Amino acid sequence: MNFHILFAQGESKVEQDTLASNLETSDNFPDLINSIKNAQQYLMSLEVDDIINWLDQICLTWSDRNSEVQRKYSNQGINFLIYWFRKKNLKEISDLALRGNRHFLDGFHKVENTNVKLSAQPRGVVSHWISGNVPMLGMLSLIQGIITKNANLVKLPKDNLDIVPSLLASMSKVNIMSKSGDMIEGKKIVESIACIYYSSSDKTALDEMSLNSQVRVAWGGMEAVETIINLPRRFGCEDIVFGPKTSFMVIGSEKLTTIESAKKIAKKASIDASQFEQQGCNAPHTVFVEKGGIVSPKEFAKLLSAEMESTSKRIIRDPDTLPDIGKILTLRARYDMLGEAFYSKGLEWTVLYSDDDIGLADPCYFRTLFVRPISDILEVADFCSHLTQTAGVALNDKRKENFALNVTAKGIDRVPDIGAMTAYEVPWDGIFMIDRLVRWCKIN
Amino acid sequence: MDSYETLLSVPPHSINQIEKNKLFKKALFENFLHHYTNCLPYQKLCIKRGWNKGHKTDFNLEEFPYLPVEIFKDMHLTSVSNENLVRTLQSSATSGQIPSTVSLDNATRNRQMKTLIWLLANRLGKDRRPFLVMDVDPKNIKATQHKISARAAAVRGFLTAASSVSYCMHEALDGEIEINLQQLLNALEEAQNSGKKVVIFGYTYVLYIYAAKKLSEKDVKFNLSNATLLHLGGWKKLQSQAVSKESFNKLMNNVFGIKTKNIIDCYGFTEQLGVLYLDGEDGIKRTSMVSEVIVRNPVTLQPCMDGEEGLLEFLTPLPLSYPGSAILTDDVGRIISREKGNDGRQGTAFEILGRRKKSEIRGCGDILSQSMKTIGKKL
Repeated sequence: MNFHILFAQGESKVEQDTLASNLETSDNFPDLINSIKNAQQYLMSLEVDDIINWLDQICLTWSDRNSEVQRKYSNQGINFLIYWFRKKNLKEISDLALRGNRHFLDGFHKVENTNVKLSAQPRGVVSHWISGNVPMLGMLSLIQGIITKNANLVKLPKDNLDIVPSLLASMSKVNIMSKSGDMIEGKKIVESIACIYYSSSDKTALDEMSLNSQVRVAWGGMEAVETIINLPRRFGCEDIVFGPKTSFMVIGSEKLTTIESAKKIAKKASIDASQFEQQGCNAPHTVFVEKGGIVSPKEFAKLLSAEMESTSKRIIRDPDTLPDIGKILTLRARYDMLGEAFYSKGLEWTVLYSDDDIGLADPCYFRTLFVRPISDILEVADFCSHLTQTAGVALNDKRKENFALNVTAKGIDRVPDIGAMTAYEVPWDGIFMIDRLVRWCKIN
Repeated sequence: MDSYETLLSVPPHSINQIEKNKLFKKALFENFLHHYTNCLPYQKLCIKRGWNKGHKTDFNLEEFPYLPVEIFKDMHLTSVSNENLVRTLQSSATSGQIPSTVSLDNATRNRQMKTLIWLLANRLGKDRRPFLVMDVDPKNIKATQHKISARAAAVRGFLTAASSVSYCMHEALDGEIEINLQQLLNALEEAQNSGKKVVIFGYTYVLYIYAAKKLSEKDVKFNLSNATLLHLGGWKKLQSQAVSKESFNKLMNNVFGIKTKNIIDCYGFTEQLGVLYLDGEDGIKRTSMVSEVIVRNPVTLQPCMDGEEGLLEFLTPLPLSYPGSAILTDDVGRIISREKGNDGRQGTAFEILGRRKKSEIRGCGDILSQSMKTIGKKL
């Protein structure tokens, strides 16, 4: 198997913007696997809270506006990652995923109200196949592999070869004192991680990586995730698949009783629609607005356009982004002719409205929103399936729960408030990833 | 004489930019009024973009409302009643792509033919010349040969400018096209007897891959120093073989003996059929009396400075049956000069540098269009 090493033995092997064609080739995959397995012993010797404290320290380092990481990746969503690395978040998500007690990761503990003692053991080598749409996804996946004390192997997409290795290199420099007074060494932790690249069509490399995995984590479009789950694997290998999904927003008429309240929702909606150029599965594309409010769906579209303009100045597009000019301009022209189109002078953002539009819009991405009127929010359930993930809502509490029950029954996984759609939460796509990265062991 | 006829009443590159602009804007505004009145969706778009019947006639071309070329894949826009439509044109679309569709009435067809002949005559000379077409005779095309029939349809208009037409290729047993040397020799002899200078004509990639390269491999050479070579269809298919305009011209010169100044690359597109951009003797394309080009920044959509690369927008008052008078293409290019050329030609000089890069959506947010549960979508 020939592959390119991007990060190994605690060191990054790539520079920013390195092209796949300029990478050195290696053929010693067994050595790489052995090196991360050996380093995993150090990770297993640490307590979960020490690992979480170490990640929290990284979060503080990266929060510094003058840090190298901020300088390089502030347009790539580094602040999402910083939020995720916070001690409070990591403790919460690991407790949530591990039957209320993350300390199962450190040894046997009694399950509340029973005589059963459980421990959560790492599964071994977790292989992550990361997609190219949201570079930081690789890190979110990886962090859960670290917390669960697994060895991690990451296959990166060719468009983003340097981000994860560069962040890991930064993490290797962070050391903290453990609760017991020992030094927790960042370099030793990240030595249990390797990042590699090979062509997605390299069947030998795909097979080899798959056969050396105890857990396969696949992120990506349908073709990518289907390729991975159909690779040969060892008996007992666990699969965690985060495949393609789409998301939308729903605004109830009760929330559109004043211009001011509608503006507030529009502002939050514009933030959800401006993250990662809507390329995440949690990004909204269609905004269903219930008729009957003081602010009509069309008026809401106009308010939303004003907020999109203002947000475009705060969430600056990565200059390397290549929007689909043809599709955006065609939609703008089409809606200028047959509906209503609101848009920036350039290609920054677009809001499209028509009285006649029904159903989920075909996404255009790059901050394009389709505002569609509905008579009753529950009509939206008809558009939900296993391919829809998040329904961001602006509804009163009573309607929200009823709505959530209806749409989750049809396939929706998350019903956050508008403004919180793009937060990466646990569970994700209906999966507690941390739970799936461990083997549950029991003594009576 | 209508304002479009006025534009055609002088040679294509004969009038300086200031004078041309006056006539061109007048014709363009008349054309705008026609579409504004007769195509309601277009009218709505124009109003949205600040244009109506009362718009000032001394406008900046950059402000004129334009449509993206892809709109003709998405919508069927017409500015005449359906009973006046006589023909539907479709662009060639590679597999899986939707072709552009525009419908023509007789008036638009006439303008297209007249304009095409006006432009060709200016470059090839007023006397009609024998065309040696480097392709298969459409009469001999099997029904399954869609590529050849699409090419045949595209070149048909040009052949009206010919005194005679001879096809010089045939389909070999393996289905590939190959040159019919005897046919080519006969056609050349016939042309020589007529005393007229021949025009070698065909698709750029067919001429290069299937004609000149094959002849060169067999060491067959001609001395057609008086001939002209006219090629069209773009460079996309030759890009993978890294064939530049220079190397193309060199091979044509080597095989056919045609002088570089007589090798003419022809640019045009279905949505503004009839309007051609032909290389001058200096190898440079210029807009004519009936056309203008604007280069737009692909991020801000604002006009670029001369010399800067951007998306090419073409304007022409030609089409009457559909609102195709200002179209932003997906071709990338730049303006070279607005000055009169050394060959005396007027018009904005520009070059085409390729197609714009396509954006690619991948990952967990890449939900396939066909998977979308879109119900009753009316727009």
